[in-house]
Amino acid sequence: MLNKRLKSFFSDYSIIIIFAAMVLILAMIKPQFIGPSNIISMVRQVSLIGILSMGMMLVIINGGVDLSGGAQIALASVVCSVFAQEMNNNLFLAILCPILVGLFCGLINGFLITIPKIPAFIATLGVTNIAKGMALLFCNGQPIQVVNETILWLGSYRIGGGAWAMPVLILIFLLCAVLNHILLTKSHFGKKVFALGGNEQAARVCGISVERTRMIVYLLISVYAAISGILISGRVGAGATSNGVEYHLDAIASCVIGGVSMKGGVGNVLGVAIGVLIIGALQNGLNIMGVSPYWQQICKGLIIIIAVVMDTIKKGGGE
Amino acid sequence: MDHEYILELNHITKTFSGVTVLNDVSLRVRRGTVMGLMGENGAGKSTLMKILQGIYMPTQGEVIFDGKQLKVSNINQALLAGISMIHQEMSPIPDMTVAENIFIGREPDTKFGFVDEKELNAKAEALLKDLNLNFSADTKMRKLTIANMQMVEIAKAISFQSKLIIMDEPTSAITDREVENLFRIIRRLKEKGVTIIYISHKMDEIFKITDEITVLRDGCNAGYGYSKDLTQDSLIKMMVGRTLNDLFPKTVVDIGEEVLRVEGLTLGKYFHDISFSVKKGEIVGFSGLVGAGRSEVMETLYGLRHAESGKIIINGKEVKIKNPHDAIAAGIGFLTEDRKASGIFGPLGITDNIVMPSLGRFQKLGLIKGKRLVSESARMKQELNIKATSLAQKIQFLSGGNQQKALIARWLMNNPQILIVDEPTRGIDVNAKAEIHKKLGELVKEGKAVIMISSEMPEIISMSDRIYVMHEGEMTGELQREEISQERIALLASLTKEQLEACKIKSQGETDYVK
Repeated sequence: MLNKRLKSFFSDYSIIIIFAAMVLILAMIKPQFIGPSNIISMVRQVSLIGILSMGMMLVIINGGVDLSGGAQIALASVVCSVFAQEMNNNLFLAILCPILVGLFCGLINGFLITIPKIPAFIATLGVTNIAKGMALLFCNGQPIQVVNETILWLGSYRIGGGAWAMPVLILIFLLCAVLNHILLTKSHFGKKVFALGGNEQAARVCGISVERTRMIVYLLISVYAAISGILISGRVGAGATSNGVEYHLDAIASCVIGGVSMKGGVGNVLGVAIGVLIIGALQNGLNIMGVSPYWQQICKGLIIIIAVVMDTIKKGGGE
Repeated sequence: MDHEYILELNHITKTFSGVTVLNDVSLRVRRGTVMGLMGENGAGKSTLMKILQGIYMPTQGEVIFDGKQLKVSNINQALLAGISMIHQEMSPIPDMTVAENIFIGREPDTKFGFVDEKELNAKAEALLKDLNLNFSADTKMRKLTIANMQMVEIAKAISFQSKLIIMDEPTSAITDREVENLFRIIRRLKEKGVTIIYISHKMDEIFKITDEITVLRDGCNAGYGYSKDLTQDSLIKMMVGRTLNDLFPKTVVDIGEEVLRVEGLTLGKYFHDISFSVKKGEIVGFSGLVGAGRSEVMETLYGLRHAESGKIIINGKEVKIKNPHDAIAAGIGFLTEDRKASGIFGPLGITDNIVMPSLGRFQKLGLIKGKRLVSESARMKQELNIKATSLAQKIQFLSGGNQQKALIARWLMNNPQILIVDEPTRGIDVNAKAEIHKKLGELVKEGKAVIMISSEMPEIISMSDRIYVMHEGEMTGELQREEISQERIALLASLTKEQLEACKIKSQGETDYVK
């Protein structure tokens, strides 16, 4: 009985065990890795990716993918800074406009994927370029310095004192994760997202509006991207077209490492959050050890591949 | 050394993990003739043909082909040995040309090892010309009609110098004119000494084209004769001559008032002018051959397809059903035919699979009432005796029978007033089958109505209070409980309305198959 329980614990939470082992090894090589300041900075480093990952997991569970997430972050960041700069400083617009622009991108994605039924990969690839182009137009290709106190506070301030002073960024990531968890497991909408990814035709037979549900999924990831974009402006103090523009790749990687099936229908927030932390720990740990960034890229690639291969083996072959 | 028989199947027995599918079946086919092969779904026709193609090995018995023992273990070897099969559902490569489709994998090479397009097209063109076909070898497959795709398959069979061509329901998707053309080709093949095994359910065709007919039933030889000596009646008797067992108990229920009436439902090429009604407490069967349009009618009633005309009346009021959501709201449930494709959510747990159409009932302030959901699913799991380690177990890891029971549970929880079940017990074990039948019986006892599509004769006959029979998109008859018999169903299912009329006039009073 205990043995069986242990076994199911290991297979259900294998990702936690891998993460724990990774932390342990890194801590043994470089003890400062588990020092409070390093842990905080490591988590803060990946919070923005984490926020996007929350949207990305909705999209992947529903049976799609969104390549435009990174470009939408860049766009949101630029739009935010347009309303948070010296000449034109308006907090309300600096938060509202990035979200509206994000929803616009999500609407295009959702429309293309549900009505003409273009594959998500292609539709979001197209929107990636549109979003990048819009970002360039809004800032005329130049970074815009952010002066709005609140935006800066959101992106780079800490709450509390001492070694464990908590960056606002991490708290927002946590909040997003909790909301996403409730959305996925406790709401109708969440059940419908899983159903859609599990079997679209069966979902239709069960009276679920496939198109509406899918549309909302793409709108939601855009909102997450917009939040990430606003925060990154505050974090780096400027809106720029390069801000977070490749975060969607790490977000997809986090989802996959965290056990979200690319075929849809499978995934949970805890897994994805740990997937995000694994990416963070890897980057941070290798940095501390003085491994060159070139090798870091290779390591990240290997981790993603190993995670997926292990998951496939665990499920018994290509099923 | 030409042998009189091109093919001799002697005492073939085939078992799959203990289940006997073919039992001592023998079949001899004369060279250059057309042998008709008939039998109900599940009679063993396709298993027998798969043995000829090397897909299955017989458990016992021998296959003599062209005077020699046939030793093939895959389709390719069978092709090279001279056996081709034209399937009911063809799988051409739509964006390649006719020539490429015919010679795929064995294209002629140039001396540099590239494909010799000229030679390829010339060879294909010669084949098409030989068959008198009026399209060219460089036409894309996509542009051909189904009948012409079939012709390409036949050309391919000829290109392999096939001595035996098996045709599985070749006329199920082509027009009458195209059937004539097919028959012309078949006769031409006969002249060249090619032998045909012709599988069909359609009476008129089978008498027109075959020389001899063999009937299989429940995996055994059930009859054989020269086509000219056989009649429709004798064939039907051979096909269904089986006693009904009492596996399917029918509970007697008081029939109530009409709950559903469908009038003149029409949808393009699928069905036209379909009218029927269902009363409370009734199990109404829909019988017919595969492809008769039964599932399409139900899909339309359920909002998955959209009718061009016709009315749906529920409890005396006309309703518009645009999508399944509307259907569920109108009190209709639908257990679809294909469990895997449109039934289960494979990676989701049993609870989620059961609750999906009834989510609205478990809502409070936008969130799901988890406790009540779990307790109700647990009750369902127990009531239907679903065998699983827990309610959270992914449904894809359950057996087919248990998956089906979970899907029944889905609709019991939803509690519709009309439940449509399409092939509710296909491919599941006997026990699960009995349990599902029992549940359907209980459901009508509560005053619900059930519409059941089933291709399994014993099931539909013993469960139904009334049976509607369809043939090629037409409603060909309605049988009351006391009129139901396998012979009547088989006749109504295999003839068109006009043919039935003709039949009726010819046999004034002699038979009462047609009312």
